[in-house]
Amino acid sequence: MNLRGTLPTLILEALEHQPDHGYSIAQRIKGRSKGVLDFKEGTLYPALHKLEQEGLVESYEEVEKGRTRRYYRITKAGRGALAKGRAEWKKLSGAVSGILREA
Amino acid sequence: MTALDEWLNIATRELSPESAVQVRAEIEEHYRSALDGGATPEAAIAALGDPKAANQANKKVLLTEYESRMAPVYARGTRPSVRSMVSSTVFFVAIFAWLMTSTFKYGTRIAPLWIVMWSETPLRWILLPTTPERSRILVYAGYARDVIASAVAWWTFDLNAAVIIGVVLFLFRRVLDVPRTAVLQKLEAGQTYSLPSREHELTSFEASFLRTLRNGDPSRKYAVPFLFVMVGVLTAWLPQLFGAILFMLAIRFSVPYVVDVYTPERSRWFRVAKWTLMALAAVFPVLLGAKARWAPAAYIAFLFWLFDAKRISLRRKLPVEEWPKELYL
Repeated sequence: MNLRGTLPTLILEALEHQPDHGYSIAQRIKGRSKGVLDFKEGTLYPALHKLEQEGLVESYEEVEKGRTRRYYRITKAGRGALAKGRAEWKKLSGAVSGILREA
Repeated sequence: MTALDEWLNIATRELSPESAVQVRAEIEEHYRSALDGGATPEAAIAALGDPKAANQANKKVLLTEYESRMAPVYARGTRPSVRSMVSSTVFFVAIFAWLMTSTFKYGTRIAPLWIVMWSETPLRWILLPTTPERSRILVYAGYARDVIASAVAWWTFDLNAAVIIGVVLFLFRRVLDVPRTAVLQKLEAGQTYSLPSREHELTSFEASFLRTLRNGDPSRKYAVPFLFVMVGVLTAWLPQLFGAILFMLAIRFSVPYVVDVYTPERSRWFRVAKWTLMALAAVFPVLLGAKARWAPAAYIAFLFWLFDAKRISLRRKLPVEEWPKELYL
């Protein structure tokens, strides 16, 4: 399934409760969607950079078992964008469901 | 080279060195995490997806090599000097006066268009495009000016002229102005760049020109043959006026293939010879008493401005070790 437009919202959703690093974010999205949302992980980091540029997430580095990892956490603006994204998705999925029910 | 290296080479193509290092660190860490999670190397690479798609996405958010060269020019924020503003204004007024008073058939019709075209210049002096917001304002103001210029062209000429002018202005705006906003956004987001030596002193035209000299702008392979065809046609039509120019161009473009001019000393002699030939090509029609004998001199002045003026400035600003081959010519 094509994820392009919804990936930023899914990333914010994955970061809602705790900061995380890129690989874990990707696994969480795939896991919670039970494998339905299988996006290409190479495009995850450009999406994260874009969210960072927009001020919706911020990043920091942590050293873990001798390895430096970059973690991302959601900002206040990011929470607002997530709420907006959820509302828009609810509206869209409601509209699509209505059409499919009628069909 | 491993499969991951191959993937990363494609995914980091045309990115600035700093951006490429950042992408490599992220993806290598991601790959290691995948292997720690039990994935095979092949599965981990497959999960990353198409490196070309990743490269396109990276170029949208990270500085490319070209953008990193333009970044210091965009971010510099210095106004043009008073001398530059005065000379620009004098040039505008002189051309306007000539259009209004000369016997040139279309002078008075082009004059309003000239005013509209120049109107953007003072705005750029006042509103330096050093932030994404200011850059965006200038782009929108520029689009408005382009629409007005098309409308004036329609009013003074016809719809065809309006369409041609509109398309040309739009393309110039897309190529020259719009990328500036993207670069400033990336810089504001914390992207960094580093440049060797004195490249930060270059103007935007010089930086752009240097890039084409270094990377081999694809349009150059058409520009030189087109130049020869154009001068060849002009020579066939007016041999007395343009024959010497054709000869000068033939020497200019053939000598570097025959003689190694790529040392500072030889380059200097080559340029002296080249400019001597240019001067002779300008003077020759005058000596022959040919009609419109000013035309070759004007054409050579245009060629000098197009090809040589920026090179002179670049040679002055850059150390010899950083000269691309084209700068020796």
